[in-house]
Amino acid sequence: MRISTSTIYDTGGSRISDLQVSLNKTQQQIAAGRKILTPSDDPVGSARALVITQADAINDQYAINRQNATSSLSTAEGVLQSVTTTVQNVKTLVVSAGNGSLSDADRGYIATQLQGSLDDLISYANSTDGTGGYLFAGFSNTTAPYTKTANGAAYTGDQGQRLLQVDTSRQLAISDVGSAIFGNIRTSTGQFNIVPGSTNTGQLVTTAAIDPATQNALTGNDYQVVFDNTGANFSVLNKTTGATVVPSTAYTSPQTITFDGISTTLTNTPGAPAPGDKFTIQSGNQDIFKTLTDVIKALNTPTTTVGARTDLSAVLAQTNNNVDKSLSNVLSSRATIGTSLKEIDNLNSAGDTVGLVYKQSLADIQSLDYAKAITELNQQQVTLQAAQQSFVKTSSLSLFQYIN
Amino acid sequence: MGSNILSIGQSALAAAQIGIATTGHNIANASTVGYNRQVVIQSANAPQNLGGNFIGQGTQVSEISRVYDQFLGQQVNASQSSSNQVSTYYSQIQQINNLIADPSAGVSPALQDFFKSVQDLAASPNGTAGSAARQSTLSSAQALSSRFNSLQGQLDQIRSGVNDSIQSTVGSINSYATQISQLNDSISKAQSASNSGGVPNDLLDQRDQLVTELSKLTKVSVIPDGSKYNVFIGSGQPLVVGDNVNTLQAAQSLTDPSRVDVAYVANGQTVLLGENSLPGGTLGGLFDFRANTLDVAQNSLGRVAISLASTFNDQHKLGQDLNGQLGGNFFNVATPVTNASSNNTGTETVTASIASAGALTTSDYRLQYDGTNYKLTRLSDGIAFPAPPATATTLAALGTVDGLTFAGTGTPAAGDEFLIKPTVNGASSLSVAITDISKIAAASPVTTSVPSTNTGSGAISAGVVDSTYTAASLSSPVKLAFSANAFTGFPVGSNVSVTNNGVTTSYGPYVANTPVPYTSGATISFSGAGFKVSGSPANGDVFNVAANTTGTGDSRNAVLLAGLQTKNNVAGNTTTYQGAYAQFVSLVGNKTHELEVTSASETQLLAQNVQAQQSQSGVNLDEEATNLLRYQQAYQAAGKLMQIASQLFSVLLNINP
Repeated sequence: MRISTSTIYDTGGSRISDLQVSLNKTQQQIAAGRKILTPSDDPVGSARALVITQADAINDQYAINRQNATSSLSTAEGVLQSVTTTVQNVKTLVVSAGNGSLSDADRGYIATQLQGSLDDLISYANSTDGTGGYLFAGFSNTTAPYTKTANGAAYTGDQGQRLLQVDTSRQLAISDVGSAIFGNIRTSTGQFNIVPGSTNTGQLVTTAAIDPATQNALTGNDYQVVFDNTGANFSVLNKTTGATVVPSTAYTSPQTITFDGISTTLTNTPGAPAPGDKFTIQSGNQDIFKTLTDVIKALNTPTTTVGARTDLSAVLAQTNNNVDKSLSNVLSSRATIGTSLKEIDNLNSAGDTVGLVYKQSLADIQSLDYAKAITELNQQQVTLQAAQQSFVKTSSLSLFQYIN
Repeated sequence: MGSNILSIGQSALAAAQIGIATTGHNIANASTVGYNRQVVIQSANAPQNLGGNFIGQGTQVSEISRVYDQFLGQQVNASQSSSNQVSTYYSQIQQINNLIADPSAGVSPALQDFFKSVQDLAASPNGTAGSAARQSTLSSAQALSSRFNSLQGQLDQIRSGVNDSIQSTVGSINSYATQISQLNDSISKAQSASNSGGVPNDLLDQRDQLVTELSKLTKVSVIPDGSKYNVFIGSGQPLVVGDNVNTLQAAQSLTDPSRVDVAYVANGQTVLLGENSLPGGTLGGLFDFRANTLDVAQNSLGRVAISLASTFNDQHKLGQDLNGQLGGNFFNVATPVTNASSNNTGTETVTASIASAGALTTSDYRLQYDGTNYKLTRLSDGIAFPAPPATATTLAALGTVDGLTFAGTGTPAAGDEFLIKPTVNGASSLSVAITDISKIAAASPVTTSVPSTNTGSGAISAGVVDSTYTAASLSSPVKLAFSANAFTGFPVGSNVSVTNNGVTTSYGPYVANTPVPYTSGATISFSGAGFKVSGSPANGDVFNVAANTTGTGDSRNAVLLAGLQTKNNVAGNTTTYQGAYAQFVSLVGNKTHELEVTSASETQLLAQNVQAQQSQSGVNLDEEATNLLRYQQAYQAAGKLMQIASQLFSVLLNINP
């Protein structure tokens, strides 16, 4: 076997260069702290790392979403806590207003206190989150959901519930709509609550339902059907505004009259109405603001007659019921929030665990084992040194040195 | 007698001189590339018959030959070709490999930032926090598209680098071809000038070295013809025949002006050579890289961009912006590129459109017209559409192929050909279409509600819309009245349908007062809006479906947009955007890794072949030192011989009888 001189130099040089390349690569790995410097080092690992990176990023984002949800829910919970206290106060006041020994003036003081509670409740219902969005307005969170009216307060929000993605397959409502918390007090199983006057003596029965043709004219106000002192004619007035809606009309049984989107039927069962009988038509579903407005109005009405006194008791009894229902609405909303917050807690710890797993997998794929790498670096260094030394030694051997 | 000895000595002296000269020549060229060592072949002169005895007549140098093994030389050339092909491919693909090496650069982090900002938008769609989230959505979308653009720009640079390399390689091939033909000429002249049949070894070395250099550029085969070499490239195109050279030319591809191909010039005619017909060497490596990695990489990246942009747009258009308008395009999406062949004789221009971004592949397509039928071929696997024996006489008859539809204007001629590249510009043309942050459609255009007068427990879900929803669909609010276990009150003329457990029943176009039966939990849709009613509604209950006029705090669409990140919207709806990008990275990584291994083994093979050749033909200086001593001593001995002959002669002259 012959070997040419240039082969000795070529192979020696290329071996040393190969060793330098691998030494340099190990050095780069150590400098970057990564096992995979380019995708070709571990194509499958690089692709998996990308997918896991995204999963990890999404997991982090869900954690941020949960933080946002927690902040919204906690703000709402704080407000609803105050609402609970206020509604409980209202209940105490309403109960105390039933005390027969109170004078009109005493009731007037209670009414003033209740007015304060009403204003508080409206301002709670119009609470904002940290960034100026109204908490209980649904999607229409740039305008205050409740505006004060003669009848209590009108809801201008919508019924949208804002959701946030808090986990891979879980969307959580981060808002509750005002109409569900402050409204939703059912006073009757029907569409309207018909309250016969406490002093009625006749046998007339009144029913009411929404008139589909004119339903857009519905006002939400209270109406009263009043029979005159003969019992033969009746009129309907809007109790909230005081306006007469149906002027005095002769009564024949059964009679159906339609006004402001309501269709009312008056029927003898079997007897006729007595003179002065009256029926109040309220919406079958009211909110706490109307309840409070009604009771304030009732407390401010002097109880000079027996009829007025019975009317007041009836209003107080209904208010008591309504306040209970409202309290239960507020509490159930708080319970939902509490459950959501608890769920977020659970998701947080689950998310943390998953995040750790992702980071561990990423580290397994990408991160460098320093002990191993440095051992390798040392080994490569020794090999390179040996190669360099042996090359210098062998290449310096030449016969020409001995020819003189 | 004496003169005989003298002439023997003289022949030995001459031979030793030639030996020393040749050894010196070998030493001088020990590191000359392509040099093959030369040896002196000595033979004894014909003897003289003197009275029946044959007396030696000294020596002669019969030949100075080079140690060259044709077979080993061919092996070196062949492995030079394949090794250079692989190493060219490897060095080119490394550019892409390094481009996507950093996990904190590339498209991936920009993609995640973008969806992160969409998630933040879902948390706060309006107000001051909303403006910030909207601005960040817009900025991160711009960052994402510029990341795509710049990656594509770098791929474009690599592509123009490939074009330049092809041009300069073609130039070098031509120059080598010319030099080989000139050497052919010189060698044949030199050889015919030599009366003793000697060969010009150094010229042969030079020519063989030129063939080796040529082999580095493309695969060549050499057929010797007398003293001349005929050199063939590709699939047998003669490059050098004797003293004649047929040159190559860099030329534009017929169907793609931005692509440099190689044409063969012979007899004044230029013929475009297919990429496959020039394997091996730098040229083969460049072609391989361009066809198998660069094109695929660019298309893969483009496909991610197009899928992202179109699916995001589709969802965005289902939403409503802060101004109460339906969402428009969020991204500008690239359209497929169609190039007509410059040889086309017809006047037809073809346009391809993307019908379904999720079905796009990373392949390019060739559309051919044979005078009657159109044929579309997917270039990645050669599959034809429509699948034979079906035929398509119009472009529309091709239908939707891999998410593409085709249309054309003008008249095609038989033999016309078009190259369709659906995703090539996907990454470079990606841009954000909107500049006004209020135009981001985070809300859903419908709202649903139940009035407080309802007495039943029926609940209505938040509505959703599909692509048939228009602003006119809910121009006035719809009140659905419930009675006798059915709904009435749908907009007259709208197509009402109810889907329960996957079974859809249609009730449209709606005629006023027609009852639509109620099933708890079924999806009711009309005019592109859909919702579910569940629970037990009571007679007279009303359910409202209306346009979302005030709900700027609504982020339902933003939640859906953010959800696209984890939806399988790419590659036949099999993977996510990030998954498709990971596939692209893995494709490049795998190929680079494969080439790293192949290139190492090819280099090893080449080194072995070169070593085998060198072990025969290379100069070993120690050996030459030995030869130097040998010829030096031979020279000294011959000189001594002549001295003795001269002394013998003077002995005779000095005899005094």
